[in-house]
Amino acid sequence: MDIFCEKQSDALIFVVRGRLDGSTAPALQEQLISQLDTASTIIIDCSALDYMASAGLRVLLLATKQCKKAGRPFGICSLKDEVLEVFKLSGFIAIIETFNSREQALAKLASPA
Amino acid sequence: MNPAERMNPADLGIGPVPAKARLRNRLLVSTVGIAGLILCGLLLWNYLSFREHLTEEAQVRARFLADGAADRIDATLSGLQSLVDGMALSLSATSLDLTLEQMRTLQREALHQQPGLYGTTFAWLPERKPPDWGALAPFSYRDGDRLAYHDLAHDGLDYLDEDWFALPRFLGRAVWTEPYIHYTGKRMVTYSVPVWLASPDGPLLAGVVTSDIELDWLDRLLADLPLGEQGYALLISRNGVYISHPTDTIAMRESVFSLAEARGDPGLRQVGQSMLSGDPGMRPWIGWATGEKSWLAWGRLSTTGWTSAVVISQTQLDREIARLTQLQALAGGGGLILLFLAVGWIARSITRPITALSEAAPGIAAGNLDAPLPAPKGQDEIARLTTIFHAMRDRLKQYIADLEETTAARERINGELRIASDIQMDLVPKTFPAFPERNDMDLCAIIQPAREVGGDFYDFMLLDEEHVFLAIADVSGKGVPAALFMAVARSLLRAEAKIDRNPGRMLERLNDTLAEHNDACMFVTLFCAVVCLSDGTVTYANAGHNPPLWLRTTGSIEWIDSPTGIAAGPMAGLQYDTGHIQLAAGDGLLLYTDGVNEATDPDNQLFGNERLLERLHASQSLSCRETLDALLADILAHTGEAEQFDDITMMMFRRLS
Repeated sequence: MDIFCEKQSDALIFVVRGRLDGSTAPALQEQLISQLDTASTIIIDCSALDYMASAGLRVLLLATKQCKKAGRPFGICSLKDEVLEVFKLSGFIAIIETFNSREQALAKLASPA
Repeated sequence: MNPAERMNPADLGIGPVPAKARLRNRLLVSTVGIAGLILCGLLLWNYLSFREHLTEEAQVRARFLADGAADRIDATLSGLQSLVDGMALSLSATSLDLTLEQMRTLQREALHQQPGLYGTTFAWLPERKPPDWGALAPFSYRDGDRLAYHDLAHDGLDYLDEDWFALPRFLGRAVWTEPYIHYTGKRMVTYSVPVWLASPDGPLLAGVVTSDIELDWLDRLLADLPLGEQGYALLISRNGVYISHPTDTIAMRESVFSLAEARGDPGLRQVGQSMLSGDPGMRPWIGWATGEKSWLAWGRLSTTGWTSAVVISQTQLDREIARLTQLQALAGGGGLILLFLAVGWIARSITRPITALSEAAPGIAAGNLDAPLPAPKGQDEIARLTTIFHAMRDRLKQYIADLEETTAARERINGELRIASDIQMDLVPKTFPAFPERNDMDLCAIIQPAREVGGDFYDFMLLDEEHVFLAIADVSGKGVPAALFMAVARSLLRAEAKIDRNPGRMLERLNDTLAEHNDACMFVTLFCAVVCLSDGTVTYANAGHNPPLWLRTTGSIEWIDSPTGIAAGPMAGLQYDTGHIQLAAGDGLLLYTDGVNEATDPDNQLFGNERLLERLHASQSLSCRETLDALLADILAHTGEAEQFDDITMMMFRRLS
């Protein structure tokens, strides 16, 4: 798994590539949680994410909860079908905001302060 | 380190350093060898150039000495020659108008003036003698320290036939006689000059003036020439007779040609001819007595026409050069030995720590970290290397100690994990058939954690005679955190199931309890159902879990995918709806976790839902246990060598009547 950070508008976008499972989730958790405070909006771009295990879901849940507590918009975008299926199955699609594209996510989340 | 892990250095292929490969020996051999070669080259070059040079010089010297000897002899002889010539001239000029006494006075004067003169004569042609002369041939000579007088005609007129008289008389010019042995035993030569008187008919011979010259000084002159060892000088007369020769038996007795004849040596005869030709010359020569290679050079005396010759030994020269070279070689050899000792000493002082290190290192390589290492000395590279070795050894020791500690810790953890695994496996009922006294249902379950402990679990229990509770769950993540959460979830679920038989409410309460203290956002996907065995009614609820499969006796298989809710744990207050289905007798339910359909092979291909359905279609006549065994075998065949990624958990229920 690789993680890239990009700044776009006021949003910090994490591009996650490869497999997000029990062995790679801790790395994402470390990067993601430590940088949550550095931007007004956090978006996870999953366009290159091939697989998501429950351990990955947990990290995203954690981020969602923390952002919600801080009143900071958080969302994930561009999920592949297999990954979206996991979200649907676990029901987390109701908790974590998902968007079809990064533009859509930015438009919805990165509102001017 | 365990002593059993120590090896013999030889087993590592580290043998002793062979003598010829030793640094010190290589340094010695190369340094001294190269120096030796250079020395040999220098000696050879020196020897050759020296020999060439000395040979040339020997030739030049031989010529020079031969000419020099001739000149010196000439100088002496020409003095005497001038004296006699002068006497003849003055006698002739005064028309011999003098008395015998006056003649004798003249002779005494000459002997006084010329110490080299032995004696001098004026011999009259008898018919010209003035009548008042009392002697025909007055002869003044030395007798020891005093001067003596004698009339050579005292015993007759024999002198008329002597060479010294006859030759100038008949040749009409001054003559050097052949050298001869005087009655005193001395070698002598006589120079005779005719004295003429003027007359109307031209000059008439009046007599002959002679001087006898002793020749023994020639030997000394020739012997004093610097000719080196085995070198010698000689003098031969116009006829080739040896006048002076280092061998006593030859001088005045032999000639070049008589010797050549006696020895049967045509080379000597040839040389003799060359020497008497009148021109100076030089040629290589083999010494007769010594057999040594030599140079023979000769020059001609302008006075007497004799030939002076010198022999300079080439072999002797060679010997001297060889001796010189030997000395140089000796000095060089001494130098080489010194160099050998010096290089040996330096190499030893350099290599001693290396050797010590190389002898100690195999012990370390073999695992004996307590083997003594030499202490670093000085500040050079080797000391540095030794220090590094020390540091490396210490680090290695530390590393091994750490590793042992880590290994011990890991072994302890592994032991604890095994116990934890046993405890976790005890948490799920594993005795099948689960309810052997009941013939209205078939129930079987399999759990295979990916690690020692996992986050999956299943559960079942009879709530009363008619109702059986079934559950399957998957906690987020794996390993110990998942196992802890699983234990909590399972206990809570069991407790809730006993309180309220409505699956939706069970999950709502379970979720609220789990969410209370869950900062880590752990969650569990869970499907639970309550089956009424008498009428086949199933109530169920789903918290984000994989939809179970309904295996109908009609042969169709359906996903029970609605209603479904959110995985339990992350937040409180979630709602879960309860669903209903009606199981016919023979209908079955397959509950499973995603470790089943998402089992991956080495190429990351999923086992997949299709294959799951295929297997289930194929095993409709099988019991629950047989079906699960077949499914597990299929899954394991699919994953093959790939590492098991997730816990594999399946539970199958079938209502029998």
